[in-house]
Amino acid sequence: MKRLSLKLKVTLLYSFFMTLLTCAALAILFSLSNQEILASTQNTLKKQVQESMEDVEWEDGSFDLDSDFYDLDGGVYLSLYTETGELLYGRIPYGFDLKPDFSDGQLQTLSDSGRQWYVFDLAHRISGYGLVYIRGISSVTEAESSFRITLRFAMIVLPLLVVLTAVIGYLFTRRTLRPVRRITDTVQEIQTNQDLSRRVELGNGTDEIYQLADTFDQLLDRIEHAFRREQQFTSDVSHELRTPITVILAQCDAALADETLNGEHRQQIELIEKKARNMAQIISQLLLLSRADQGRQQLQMESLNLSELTEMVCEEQSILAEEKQITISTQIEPELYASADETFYIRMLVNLISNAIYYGREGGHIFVSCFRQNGFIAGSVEDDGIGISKEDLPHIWERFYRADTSRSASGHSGLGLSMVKWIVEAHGGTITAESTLGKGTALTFLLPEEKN
Amino acid sequence: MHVRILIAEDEKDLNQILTSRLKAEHYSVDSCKNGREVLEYMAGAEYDALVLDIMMPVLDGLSVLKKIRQRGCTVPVLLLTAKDSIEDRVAGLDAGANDYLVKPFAFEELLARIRVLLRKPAETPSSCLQTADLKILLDTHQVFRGDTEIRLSGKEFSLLRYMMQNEGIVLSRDKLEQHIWNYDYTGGSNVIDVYIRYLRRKIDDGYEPKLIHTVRGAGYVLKVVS
Repeated sequence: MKRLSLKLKVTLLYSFFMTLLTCAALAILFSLSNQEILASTQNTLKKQVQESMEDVEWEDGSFDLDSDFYDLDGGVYLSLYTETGELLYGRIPYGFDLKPDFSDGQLQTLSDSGRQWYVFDLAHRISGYGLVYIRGISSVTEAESSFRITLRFAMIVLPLLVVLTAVIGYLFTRRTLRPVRRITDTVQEIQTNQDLSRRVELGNGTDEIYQLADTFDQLLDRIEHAFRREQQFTSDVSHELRTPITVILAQCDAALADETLNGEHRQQIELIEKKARNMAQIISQLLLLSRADQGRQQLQMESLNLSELTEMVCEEQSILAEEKQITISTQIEPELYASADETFYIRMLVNLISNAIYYGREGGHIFVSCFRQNGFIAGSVEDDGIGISKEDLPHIWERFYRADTSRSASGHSGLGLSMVKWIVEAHGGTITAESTLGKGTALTFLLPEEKN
Repeated sequence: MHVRILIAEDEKDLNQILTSRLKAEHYSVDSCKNGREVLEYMAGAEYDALVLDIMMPVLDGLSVLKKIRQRGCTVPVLLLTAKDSIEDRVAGLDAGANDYLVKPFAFEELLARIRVLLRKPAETPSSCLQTADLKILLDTHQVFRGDTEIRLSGKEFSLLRYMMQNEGIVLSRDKLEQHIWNYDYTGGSNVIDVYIRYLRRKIDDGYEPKLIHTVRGAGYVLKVVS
């Protein structure tokens, strides 16, 4: 039941109750047996005949009959006879050719050429004239068949009503819920396209759903605003910091150019210069990520031999790894080509490997592989270092996130993996991380292979 | 010959150090702090080059540049900016700048850019550079070692061209990085070393003499070692 859409649920509810109602109606109709219908026909006949006695009066030597006498009320034909059986007034149903004897107050059931009749006579003494008979005739067949028609009619109309209710109910619900669909679509579009400028925009309306959509739009306005402000803030801050850093670097440069500087001062200034460069680097990375967020970072795509490039990065990083006695081994399939931005690809791999070195153990190992896999190039960097705990693993892509909160590390900005993720995704690829605390980490990326 | 340079930079400290260092390089330097002052200085003297910060009070660098160019003045202009996105660069070059330098920059790089700006049109480089049997064609971006054509990526080509233009000069990592990633500088790490390694593999592996050399602690140099 939970998997059904609201539309279907409401429709099913309508239909269910409508079916229940129909079944009840049909049950009532069927439970009225033939007997009861016939009994009711007989009663009507008797009642009509009895009541008609008042309609017959003798005045000034002739009968005066009320117009009611000819009315065929309840399908009963009334007629007036003399004591000897001669018809005076009234109507005889078409096809009734029998001339049964009069029997006062007795109901007779007669058959004639396939049709059944009820006949009921009453003797009536009229002052001034004498005895007359009033005869009522009612067609049994007609009563039965009209009942059968009613029944058949019900059998057709009621289920039809159920279907009609279901269809109308479905259409109506769908119409009512269409704005909800639109809200869902908008939110999904925002999620897939990362486009916060989209709105539901239902237009003017006052019902609950319009209010909901309106609230959504207002919320989106605020989110977009906050998001833009944050992006702008990062960008502004980074730009503002660049000028002072330029001054620091220029001053260091000038101071170091002085040849009379003693060794200690030189070291101190060199340290300042190094740290200022680190800052400049972090700012550059922040700016890059903020451009990437705003979709303004462009890639210079070229057809590259990723096999060679990966090998080059590994060779270069081996020099850094040696400082920690870490060995880098590789398994790279030759002639892998992809359309990629060379600098960013190198950047990504350098970040991955330097991370592996940074979190590796002295004398540990790093394994880099690269091979073809179903139209993709699958690369991975595995280490046997300290690993990442389950709680930390989902957060490693976040900016400035660090498993060890001490932030004592130098040269590690905490932006490396955010950049890696952005670079891989900007190339139309994906990256995943697997890790066991204390055992090591494996980062695997997939990049689309170039089709020749 | 006396070369006059006008510097416009609103950040006092940066203005000061640039001025004093350029003076130390024997340039004659005037400095000002906003765009309007630039126009005033320009009205009073002839300059051989202009170093303009983009973000300045009163009148910003781009507006000044447009005004100068409207007057038909062709003085070479180097823009300084804290912004490094492609749009900013395009806006700067569209306004008539000759070059563009992103903060933070090494002073050495600023000097190199100024030297290029001051170079007379007659000294424009030829369309072909050659060191030993390594030859690059600047127009077609083709690279030959002997008779073999070598395929280089865009960045590898700019790197090689820069090293060949500075043949025999040791280039620091900083300088190389600034030159190659001026506009969208992603900064740091050893990306440049990977590039040099790859470049060596492509142009030096299996050939003699070796052309690219590492100078420990200083950088890289392209030259024929005799």
